[in-house]
Amino acid sequence: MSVAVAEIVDQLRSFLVERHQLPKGAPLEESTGLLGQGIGLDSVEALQLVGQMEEAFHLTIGDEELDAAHFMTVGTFVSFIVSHLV
Amino acid sequence: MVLWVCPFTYGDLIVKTAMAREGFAVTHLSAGSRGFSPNACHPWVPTRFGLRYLSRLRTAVEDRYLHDRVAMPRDGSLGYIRQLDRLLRAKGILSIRAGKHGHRTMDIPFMSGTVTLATGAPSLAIATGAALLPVFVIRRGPGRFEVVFEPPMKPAENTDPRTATEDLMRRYAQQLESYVLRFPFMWSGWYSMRFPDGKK
Repeated sequence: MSVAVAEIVDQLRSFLVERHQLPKGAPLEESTGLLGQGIGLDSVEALQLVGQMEEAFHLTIGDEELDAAHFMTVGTFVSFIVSHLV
Repeated sequence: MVLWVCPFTYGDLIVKTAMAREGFAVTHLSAGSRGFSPNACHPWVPTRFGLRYLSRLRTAVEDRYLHDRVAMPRDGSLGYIRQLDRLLRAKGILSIRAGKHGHRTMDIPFMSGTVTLATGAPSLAIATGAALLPVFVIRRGPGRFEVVFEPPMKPAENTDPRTATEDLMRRYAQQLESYVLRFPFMWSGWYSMRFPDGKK
């Protein structure tokens, strides 16, 4: 399966625009925090984000894989999703 | 159903006992240390002695009245949220202590200052469509307690989940304030309150 990183970022952006009133054109830096500092997702929102990725890219991500480190920044989260696509 | 339990003295144990006696199977969200709720506000909670001995003792007593206990992992991993999500979608009952520990917290106006509360309970209720019930336990005398289940808090309509969560947090704080003003000696959250001068 070949999914560009840009598609993952687009999915992430659409989630944040819909649920966090992120301006549509706002830049998402690799270093932008997701949990806590930065975007400030809570654990439920982080889970919903994973659900959206699973649906969009036909993935299955196990409970035991949901390590907080994957949600630290936009960059770590995108890498996490990419690792499930290869 | 999410029981959002106010941190009043004896509240944790009494709610579990009352629910078990009425035949309800309650799952409790607990700290990684398993025993002390993630929102226990007492400064002595993190001590090694507290975790090693008091926590085990308290857990053993509480677990007699619980269907299950889900622990928040100390490493911050999020798998437990899926477990809670499945529980609530299957119409299970989850109890969460109202307090400051969680992945996201809010400072909410409270009396003349602010109180810090985690967003987990309302956020989970909104995400799963579960009812959110504030619960207060009032000590009426030696060995006598009154458990008050307030009506379910309905999230605001036509708004995004985050705004709805924040609205529920503010409404809960107002309700909490009315109870704390009536029973100030029972609230263990004084430690987490901040006053306008920045002092705790």
